[in-house]
Amino acid sequence: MMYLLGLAIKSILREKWINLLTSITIGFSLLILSMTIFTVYNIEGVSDKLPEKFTIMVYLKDDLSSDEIIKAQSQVEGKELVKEVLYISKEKAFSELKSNLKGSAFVLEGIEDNPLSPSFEVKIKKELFSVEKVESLIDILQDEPYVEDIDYGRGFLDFVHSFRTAMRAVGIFFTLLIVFAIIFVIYSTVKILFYRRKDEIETYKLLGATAGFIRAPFLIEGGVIGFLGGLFGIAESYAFYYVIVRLGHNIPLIGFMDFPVQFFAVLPVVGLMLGLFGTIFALGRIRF
Amino acid sequence: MITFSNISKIYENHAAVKDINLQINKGELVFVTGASGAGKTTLLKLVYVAEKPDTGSIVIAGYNTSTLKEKSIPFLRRNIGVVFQDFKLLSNKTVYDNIALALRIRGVQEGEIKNRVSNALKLVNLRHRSESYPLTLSGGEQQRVTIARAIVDEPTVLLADEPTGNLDSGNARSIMDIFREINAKGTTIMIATHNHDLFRNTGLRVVQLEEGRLIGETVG
Ligand SMILES: Nc1ncnc2c1ncn2[C@@H]1O[C@H](COP(=O)(O)OP(=O)(O)O)[C@@H](O)[C@H]1O
Ligand SMILES: [Mg+2]
Repeated sequence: MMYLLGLAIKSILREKWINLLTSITIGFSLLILSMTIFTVYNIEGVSDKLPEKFTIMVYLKDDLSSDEIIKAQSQVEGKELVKEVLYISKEKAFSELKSNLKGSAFVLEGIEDNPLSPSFEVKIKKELFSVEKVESLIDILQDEPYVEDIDYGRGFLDFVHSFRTAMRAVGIFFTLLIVFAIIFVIYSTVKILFYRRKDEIETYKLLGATAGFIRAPFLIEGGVIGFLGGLFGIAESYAFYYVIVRLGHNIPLIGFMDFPVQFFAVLPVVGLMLGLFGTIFALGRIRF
Repeated sequence: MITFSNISKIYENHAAVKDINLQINKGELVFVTGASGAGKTTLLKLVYVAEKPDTGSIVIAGYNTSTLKEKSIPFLRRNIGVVFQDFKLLSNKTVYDNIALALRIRGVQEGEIKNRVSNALKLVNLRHRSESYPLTLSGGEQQRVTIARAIVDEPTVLLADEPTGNLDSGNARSIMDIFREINAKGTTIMIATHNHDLFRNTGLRVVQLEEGRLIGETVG
């Protein structure tokens, strides 16, 4: 066992340039992986904050008695998704409108009757928020007898939803691409190392070495290359994080971005695993 | 110990070895002779499964090489010491490490490896060369390193392919002495050689090959 470890270490040092180059390449691939995950994470973060601002305006029929309004309000409040319901009476809506218009209040001149409907301003529990759930809630509310009309940012909601889905797909695509790229890089390097030692391996076989004995040093080497790549990946990813999050915190659009840096700690493990995978593929079946 | 039944090996329409039937008993020392190209090397390769026969079967130490599972091949080879015609020494390892490799592959402890390698080197008279690299040695010395590696694990069967090809007659005789010594301890030995001096007046079995066929057997 110690001997195999020694063989691996010797080979790592002997082939230090190709190994270093491979590790650096893997480091950069892992940087791209970090950037991808960083982006997806922040988009998820932004769209997670949307439900806090998201409200549904439920316009009520004009002729409801106050009893009916109270009943309707508690019914809406009873819905699983609903966080709170704020009742806005006709009069309140009108005065709000007036104060909103301020100097331009003349547009309301001549309007004697209050043309507005009373309404509920419905806020959604953000932990339960999803586009599908909100839409099915709206479908249910639409059929209630006290409801005149419902207004919500449908287009906006759909946009957020599809943007998020698209970003996730792009994120997964990039992740897979990088995973395959890293496996391929290790695969090629190990293939080269293997061919360089072909004659030596031939002799090992003739002397009675098992496939495991032949594979072990390469697996160690591939694992170490991947792990080192992961360490490079940490350094590069942290540099990226530092530039964006620390130095960019005053820049609009970038300033709000954040990321749990602890995530970078998994990069060497990812590198190690992909290193082993690539090596296994490169070695294939050992024939005697 | 080794039984060849109807063995043929064909390379691109050309039979390197054809219809060989041969029985080698436990503890025997047998010579295989014949001109260059007669099929001696091929015959040995078939024994340590570097080649598979096209017809027939070889049974060695209870293993049938034709039906042997691939993953059992290393374990068969561990019973066979081979002195390769082209040595197959690793030029980036010292003499010591080349010989030790045969034991490391078998998982022997380093302490024991040290003893056994040192004994093997003593037997071939190369103790002073243990830290040298193969390419700094003469042909005869490299041949003796190869022999030391083949016998270091005291194999059941020893196959030697032209083991004196690079040696003068004095050295050749001392190599033969080593083989006889190992043979006396119970190792079955097959030596492929075109050098008739090696078996002359030994009283040992000599099998003759010609163009891949076994054409006769004499006593040296
Ligand atoms: N790998 C090979 N491919 C094609 N022909 C081969 C191969 N090995 C040996 N031969 C041929 O088989 C015949 C026997 O070779 P070999 O066993 O090496 O003879 P010897 O060891 O008696 O000199 C020769 O004609 C040789 O050219
Ligand atoms: Mg030959």
